[in-house]
Formats: sequence, structure tokens, C-alpha cells
Amino acid sequence: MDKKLKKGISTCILYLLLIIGSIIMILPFYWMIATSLKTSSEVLKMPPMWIPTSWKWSNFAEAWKAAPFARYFLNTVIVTVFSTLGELVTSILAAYAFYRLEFYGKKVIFSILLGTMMIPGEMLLMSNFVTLTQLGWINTYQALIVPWTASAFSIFMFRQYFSTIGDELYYAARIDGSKDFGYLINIILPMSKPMIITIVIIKAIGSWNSFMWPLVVTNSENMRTLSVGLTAFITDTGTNYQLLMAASTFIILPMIIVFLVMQKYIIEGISHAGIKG
Amino acid sequence: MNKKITLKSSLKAYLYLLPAVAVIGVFVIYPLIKSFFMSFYVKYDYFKDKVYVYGIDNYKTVLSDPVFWHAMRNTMIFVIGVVPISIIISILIALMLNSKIKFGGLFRTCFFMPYVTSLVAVSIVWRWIYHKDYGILNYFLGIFGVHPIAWLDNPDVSMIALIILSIWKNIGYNVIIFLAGLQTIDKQYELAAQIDGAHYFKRVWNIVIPLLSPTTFFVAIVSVIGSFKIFDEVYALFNSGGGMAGPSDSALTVVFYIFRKFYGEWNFGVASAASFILFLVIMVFTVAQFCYARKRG
Amino acid sequence: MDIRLKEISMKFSNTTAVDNIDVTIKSGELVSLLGPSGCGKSTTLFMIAGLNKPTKGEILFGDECITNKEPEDREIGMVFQNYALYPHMTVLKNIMFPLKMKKVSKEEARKRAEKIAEIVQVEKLLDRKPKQLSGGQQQRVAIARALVKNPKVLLLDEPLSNLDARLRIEMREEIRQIQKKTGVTTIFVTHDQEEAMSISDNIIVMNLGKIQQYSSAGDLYNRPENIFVAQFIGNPKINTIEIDEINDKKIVVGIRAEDIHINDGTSVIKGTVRYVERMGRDILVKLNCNGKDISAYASKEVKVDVNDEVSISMDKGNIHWFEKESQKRIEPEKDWFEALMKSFQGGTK
Repeated sequence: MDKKLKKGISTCILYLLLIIGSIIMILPFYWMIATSLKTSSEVLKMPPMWIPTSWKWSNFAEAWKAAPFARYFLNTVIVTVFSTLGELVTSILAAYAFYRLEFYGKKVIFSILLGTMMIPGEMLLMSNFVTLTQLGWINTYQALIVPWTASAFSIFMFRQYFSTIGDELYYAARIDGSKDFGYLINIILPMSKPMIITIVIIKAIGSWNSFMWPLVVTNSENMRTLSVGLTAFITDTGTNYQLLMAASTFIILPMIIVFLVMQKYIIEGISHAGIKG
Repeated sequence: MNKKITLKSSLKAYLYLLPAVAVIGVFVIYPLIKSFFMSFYVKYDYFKDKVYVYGIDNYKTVLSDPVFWHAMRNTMIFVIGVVPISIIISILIALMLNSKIKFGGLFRTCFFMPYVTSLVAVSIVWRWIYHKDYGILNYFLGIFGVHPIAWLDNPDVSMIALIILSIWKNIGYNVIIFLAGLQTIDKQYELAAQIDGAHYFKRVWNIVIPLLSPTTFFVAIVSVIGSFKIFDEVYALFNSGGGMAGPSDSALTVVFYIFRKFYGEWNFGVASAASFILFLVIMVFTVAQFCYARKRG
Repeated sequence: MDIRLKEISMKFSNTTAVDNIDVTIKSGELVSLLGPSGCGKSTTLFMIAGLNKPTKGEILFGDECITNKEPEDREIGMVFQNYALYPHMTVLKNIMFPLKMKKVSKEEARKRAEKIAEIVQVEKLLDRKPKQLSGGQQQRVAIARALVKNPKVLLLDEPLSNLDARLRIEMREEIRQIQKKTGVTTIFVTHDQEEAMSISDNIIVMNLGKIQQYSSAGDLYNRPENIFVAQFIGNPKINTIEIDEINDKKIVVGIRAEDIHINDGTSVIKGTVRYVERMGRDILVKLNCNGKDISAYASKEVKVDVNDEVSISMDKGNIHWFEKESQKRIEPEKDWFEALMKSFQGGTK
């Protein structure tokens, strides 16, 4: 029985470690929401109050009004939606070209795109800022959206995915009289749903959470995104942690919900990217 | 059906490529080149895009600036602090999740959740967790008899605060990649190792981890590059509108330095020079990792 | 060391892969587990290895019941179908690995590894990595790794199926020689009956999770105990003829092609040639005899062509009789042979 006991103990330890690890991972989020529901005196209670007793839902409303979060929210949504759409369109078209079409310089252009994936964005910051200034786009939606409407990464992921759709469908479509564009729209697109969903989610999360870029290209309150607005809010609230936590919830919660609903796609997408790497 | 390359087919393809290439061309390739030239703009008016003096003074300025080296040192500490620990913890968690346990999906969800959240917002939450008097981290440490640590005010520990936050946030991503890597290892090697007399930990050490090295390599590269570029967390944990990166700038990182030169002092030339130096450093580290991997076969 | 499988069963959720097997494998013998795909032979092997846990029954090595012992502790050597050589280690390190696990000192491990490498003839390849070796070489390294720790038993799971035909024949000889040299009890899983017949001391024939017969190659061939074994062993497949009624019994008759003789002139049974396969040393004649399709061997000198009428005869002693219902071998009664001959002539039903 000694063997069985040993196995039982190690299984217990395994579960214990995993449970502790999981708690460490999500405790900050729980704490964020719990703090958001406290009164200012409860917030400063030591030892900490794990379960809020006052359930001050009004904190959320108060935080929302304390700074133009409605506007921040709107901006973030607009930026996320349009840059994601833009990237979808540009990437799918480009991926199709690499997948199906023949043209001069195919290999060269492909290699250059590959190279761009290795460039750190920080290096391009200053120059892009100048470009945008010249275009008069500083502090506009264009500045927030346009530079993010293309990604070499997405192009590669789509191309990879397209190549798993066999040649025969293409031949059949051509014989049926469909030209390339029709084939793309009618056949490839519907069959690429899983990859589209994955890319949309990864891109949307990235766009929603982006900080440095919106920080740099916006300079007025009404163009700020949630992440920038949040950092500005820190100075406003001072030590009003329950409002600060409530405000943080505005930006964190939507993505958690998206994640919980769509985890399968996200995790699969990242696993694939990892294996290809 | 092999299609021939003709002018017509090329033009058609270029049309498909145009949107993506236009955006990438304007916002990635062009700025890459321009940034390089910008690093030589010693006197520059960004609004009119007019250069008055060219030269290598910017590089001189950066390389002789003790603040820059301070930032570089901090960044190195950060990279060395984060990457190895991250990898080790992630591999351990991936191994645990890969064994036959129930609720594997649930655990995976928990570990991955921090990754999808806004770095800035999460840093603000950690700002509260790191609070000297009311933060829950000090509360937990207090249970073990540790005196309250001024995470965000004490220059000696501010980097540690940054490191803990970064490890916490990125573990999920690494775990997923390692899980995928573990799945690609043919099960028969573990069976053979069992027959050869290797119990679990010996199997992991002698067989699984060596066979996992391509994945480990990938994670190492991505983590190193990502760690060099740390910015959001510094801004949100310590900074609230310009000024010091942490108590006496103790959490100043290279990207933050670049940001300050660019957005604070409007010194585009120096900022560009610094960013190129950073790029070179990242390149050196990446190439070194590739060489190390090649040597080990 | 004898290996005893005591009423072993292995059930997976809906299927019974191994059904109540009880058998003893004698020390020092090379025994094959032979059978078609899915018969349970690999499952049985894996249970002996400890990689599968039987749902019922016990396994004994000698006198020791090892059913609950982990594979790591069973001191067995195993060669997998795909060899499972550790890709990141050199040949030498691969062979030394089991000794490393046994905490043998590095110098001694090296010596033993080099010695066994010589026996299997891979001593010149010690610094290579597995991917630099051919299939045959990889297999020898796998055998070396299995033997280096002087295992109590050597298990081989279809080790030759990935090799080309000629190499397969060469390697099975070598495996036999190595086994004889080291004297280790060996169990060899294969679906190729020729392979099993050529090198085994004894063969366990399995089908549908049950043992069909356990005996020497000769006995399997000359005295198959049931219809399955009769049909599985021997190339070409044994001729089977069903006789519906002899003394109220349904009988199946088995006659091997080489036991049917053509144009002897000594018999009254006639048949029409349907097809002739000229195979070099012999010819295989497929004929139809009163509605029954049978094959017969003849030497290459015999002249026959399609649609010829030929006369055939068969040896009474080489006929195998089986009871249709139980599928088992039975001894024929006095008048059965005549009944059989009559059925060929078109007399009896």
C-alpha cells in the first residue's frame, strides 16, 4: 500500500500547487472588484476585508462620472473595431496574394515582411510621430487607427491557414467560372472562420490594451483611450483607491469576458504561433 | 496548375497587396529608415521637419549620459530577473497541467487570464497591492513575520516589484507555449525511459526537458526581447504624469528613458539614437542566444 | 526465469482487448506472440512491460508477483516498433542511459555499453545521433539499450515492421543469435507468421484477445488445434472444405496445398484448372473440384493449363479435421475419408 499512499500524496501536492498558483493568478482581479465595492473607510481596513460588506455599487457610477470614461470607452471601442476590421481586410487580401497569385518579387516582398516582424515598435515611435504631425493627424482617430491596420504576423497566419485548404477547391471554382476575387470571397473566407476569429480576438485584445501609442499621439482629454485616461485618473483620484479600482475594472472586465467566452480560439492561436516559431 | 508570372498577374497581385504594403511601408519601413537618419539630427524642428545640424553628437550624448547607463543597468537587471525565473516556473506549471489531472482547462484559464488584460490597468491594481500599509502583499508577508516593505517608495526594492508584476503577467502565455511544446514530444520516449528505469523526475530531467529545448529557446527569445522593451508597467506603477520612474528613478528603463527624451524633452535626435542603441543591444542578445543554441545542437 | 501470465484480462471502456489469458513462458526461450492486427498481442506485451495495467489477473516473473510493480522497477528491456531512441543523445549515451538510471558508475557503464555495442555490431557508431543512422542500425542500438542492463526479460514490439523485406530477414536471424548468445527470455510480437515460425522456440497464436494455440512452429503447422490457426499459419492459406453432414456432424476439412497431388494417375477425383501461378520453383494450381475451389502445389515440370481437366489425390494422414461448431480439431471417424472423397466426386451432399 506504500506505493498507493505515495501516489496519493503526490497527487494531493500537485493539486495543491495548482490551486495556489491559480489563486495567485486571479486574486488581483478579485481584489480589484472587491475594493471597488467598498467605502473609503473599508478600503483602508487592516487586516484586509476580503468580502465587501457595503456592496457600494455606486462607486462604479461615481468613477464613471469622475472622469470622461464614457468618452474614453467610446474612443477605445472605435479604435479597436476599426483597426481590427482594417487589419482583417489588409491581411486577408495580402495573404491571398502570397497564397494563390504569382507575381514578380514575390519572394523578396515576403522576406521583407518577415523582417518587419522583428522590428521593435519603440524605434519607430519618433519617426511616426513626425509623419503624423506632418499629416496633421495628431490627436485624431486616424492616428490611433491607421498605423495599426496592417500586420505582417496576421498575413503569415492567414497564409498558413489558407495553404491547408487544398488546391482542388480552387480548380473546381475556376471551372465553375469563378475568378480569384470571387473564390476568395465565396470559398476561402467562409472556410477561414476559425482563423478569422482567432486573429480578430488577438488583435482586439491588443488594441484594447494598448497604451504607449495612444499616449503619444493624443494630447487632449476627448481623444484619450481607456488606458491613457486611466493613468490620467490616478492623479485626479489621489488616494481614492475604491474609485481607482472601479475605473480599472472598466478596462479590464470586458477583456476578461471576451477571454472567457473565446478562450479556445485564443489559446489555439497562440499555441500555433508558438509551434511555428 | 502552374501559373506563369506575367505583368498582368503581377499587377493584379500588387493590387491585393497594396493596402497592407501601403500601411506597413508608411508606418514601419519608412520610419525604420527615417529613425536611423533622425538619430543624426543634432538640431531639429519636428514640427516643420527641418534639420539644422547633423552629426553623431546624439550618440555621444546618450553614451556619456549616466542616466542612460542607469536605465540600461536597470533594464538588464529586469531581463535577468524576469526571464529565467519565468521560464522555470512556466515549465513547471506546464508539466503539472500536462499530467492527467481533472479541471485542467479551468487551471489553464486561471493562469492565462492576466495575459489578456491591460498592462496599464493591471499595474494600477498592483499599485494598490503593493501599498506599504494597506496592500495585501505586505499583509501576506506579515503573516510570515516580514516587516512591511515600501515596494513603490524604496529604491532598493522597486525593481523587484516590477519583476514580480512582470512574471505574474506573462506566465500564462509561456505556459500555453510550453504546453503546446510538450504535446509535440512523442509519448514513446517517455515509455522507453520508463523501461530504462527512469522514475518521473529523472524522466523529466533527462528526456522531457532536453526534448523541449526548441520551445524553451523560442520562449527565451520572445521573453528577452519583450523584457527589454518594458514601459507600460513602469509608467503605471510609479509615474503619474511625467517625472521620476520610481523613487529616485530606481525603476528607470531604457524605453522609459527614450520616452522621456522624446515626449518630455522633445529631443527627437537623442531619443532616436538611444532607441537604435537599444535595438543593437537586443540584436546582440538575440544573436548570442542563437549561437548558444547552435553550439548545443 | 519463467514468466507466468495468470488469467490476465485487459478491458478498455467497451472492448475486451485481452480475454483471460493463462500461459507460462519458459526461461531462456524465444517466444513469439503472433496474430492479426487487433488480436491483443501488443496489449499483452505492454502488460508484461507494465505500461498497461491488467484489469484482472496476475503476472509473475519467476516466483515474484510483479503485477503492481512500475515499469521502471521491473528490470526488463524493450525494443519499440519505432525504436524510441532518444534523439538528443548519442548512440553511446542512449545505450548507457539504463545504467545511468541504475546509478552505475560512469566508467563501468561505458565499458558495458561498449561491450554490448560490439555484440550487436554498432561499436563504430557510438558518437552518432539516432537521426544519422539507418533503420537497421537504429534497431541494433535499440536492442543494445535493452540488453545492456542484463534484463530479466527482453520484449520486442514488432521490431522488424519498419525495415525492408531483405533487411527484415537478416535482422531476425541476428536477433535470434543475440538471444541465444545472451540466453535472455525473449517475447517477440509480430503479425508475420513466417517471421515467428523461423526464429521462435514456441509461438503463442492469438486472436480476438484469446490464445488460439501455444506450441512449436512445427506443431502449429502440422497439428493446428483449431480452424483459425490452420488458416493463419502456412502460405498459401490452407484449403478448407465444408461438409455438412457426416453422421449428423458438420465438419470442416483442411488440406494444405502441398498435400494435394496433381496428375498422379492414382485417383478418380477430377477437377478443372482455373488459374496457374508460376512461382519459379513450384507452380500453384487453382482448380475447381465439383464446386469446391482448392489450390494445389505441383513441381514446375508438371504441364497444366487453364481449363485442363486433371486428376488429384491427397494423403489421408495429412488431412486436418475440424468440428464446425466449436472450430476445434477432432479425430476423424472411420468413414469420414470416404465421405470426403465422395463429395469431391459429386456423390455425397
